[in-house]
Amino acid sequence: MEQVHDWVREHLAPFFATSVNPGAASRDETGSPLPAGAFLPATELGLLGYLLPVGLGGAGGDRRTFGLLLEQVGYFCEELEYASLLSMYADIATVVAATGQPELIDRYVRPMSRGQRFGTFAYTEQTDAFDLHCRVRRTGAGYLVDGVKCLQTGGHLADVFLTYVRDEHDDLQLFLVERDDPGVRVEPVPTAGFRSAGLTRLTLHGVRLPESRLLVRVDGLSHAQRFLNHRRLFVTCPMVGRMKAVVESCAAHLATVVRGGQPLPAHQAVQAKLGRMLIRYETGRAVLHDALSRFATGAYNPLFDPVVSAAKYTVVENAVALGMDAVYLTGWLGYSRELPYERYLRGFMAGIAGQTAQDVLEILLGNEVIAQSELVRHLEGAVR
Amino acid sequence: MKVVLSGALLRFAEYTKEVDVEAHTLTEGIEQLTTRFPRLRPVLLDGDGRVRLTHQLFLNGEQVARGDYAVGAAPLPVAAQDTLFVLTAVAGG
Repeated sequence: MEQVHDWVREHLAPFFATSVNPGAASRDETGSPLPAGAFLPATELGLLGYLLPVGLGGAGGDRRTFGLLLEQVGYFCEELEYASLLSMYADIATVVAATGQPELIDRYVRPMSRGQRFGTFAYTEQTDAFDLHCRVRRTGAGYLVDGVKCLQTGGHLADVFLTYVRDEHDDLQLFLVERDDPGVRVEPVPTAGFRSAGLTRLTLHGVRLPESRLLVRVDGLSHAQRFLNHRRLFVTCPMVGRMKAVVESCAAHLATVVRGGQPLPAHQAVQAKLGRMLIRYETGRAVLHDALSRFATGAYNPLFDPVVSAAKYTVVENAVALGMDAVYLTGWLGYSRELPYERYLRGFMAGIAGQTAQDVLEILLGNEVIAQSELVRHLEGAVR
Repeated sequence: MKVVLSGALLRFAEYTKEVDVEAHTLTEGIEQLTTRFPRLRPVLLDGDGRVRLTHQLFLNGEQVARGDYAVGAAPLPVAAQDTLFVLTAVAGG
């Protein structure tokens, strides 16, 4: 853990300090996405190919270590969006690589590992997973795709969109849709926070795709669930790192403020608030690391893991509460650019909706409890 | 065999929690279930007619390995007194 911290501090933190952090407030104000150049050092360090096999130009790294790296990126980089995009671009390459098709690997995976091409995940339509509206139909040697995908992370840089569409059997298929395909339109989606994440809307109007773009022929629904299961944890990793940075900077700032003749940390109310913030951070860190360790052992449900989902839920709830604590403690300064806690808070709040909304996770996990309870009752009845 | 549905699947089975089917194999049982509730078919089964991997099946409390209902798997025998639980957790959309 400390090794990962030291590695990021040595290799990436100086770049963040000089080339990313100074522009974060401006990008937030204007809604400007992070440029491709911001990922150049990460690319040179092999992070975009970290999860890819060595034979495909990757580092052959594991998901637990990558999660720990993202946590430290979140600590040193003051823009939560950065780590989110980094993990999205790195993970999309693994999805294409998993096909094992040499043509796709040469066209997409190797350039992705070198930061020459970027891909993102186009699934969301603001409907139930079983009711997606985007459609595909066969047309001779190829396919015709129509519909709207309402939100992609990092779509501003994406050359290719992993797009899930319903076929004539109401099954989901996964296609690679290129930005330059005729009939494709990519538009920015303005949001209240997470504004440099390059969020986009993808519109597909009569897009013709060759057979070679079909990535998953059947059960794309399960394929998407597998991707989301990993993604759910990766988006929370940088939040935990940022939570730690907020606790530290908040304490440092409060030490410089005198109220009632005493530095603020001398007041018990402030001590208690900082204590609550530390508890929130340590809670988030503990559940995150526990969930990441499941990636290492392989002892988890790869399609919907309750522990991974509970970790995402817990980190987001604690991050939002911690962000609020920081604003309460620092007053107008924390609501300004000087101490940009309100910006971090808006970033943490992206987790309320992203990678399965918090209330949906509550329902899914509740259903899991109910179903497991029914199973236990059935087994007990069978024993009697 | 008795099939017990849960969660998001219920709305596609007219909120019928337990369904009795006559079947010798798991596949036969699923086929009967989806014949009785056609809206359940595209939710439960993929384009090849196999149970989607995102659903977890428990036969008499024992989880059925995903490989046992993947493409190419051998038919899994079931008996009249067996109970099949179908658990699902599908996110996003």
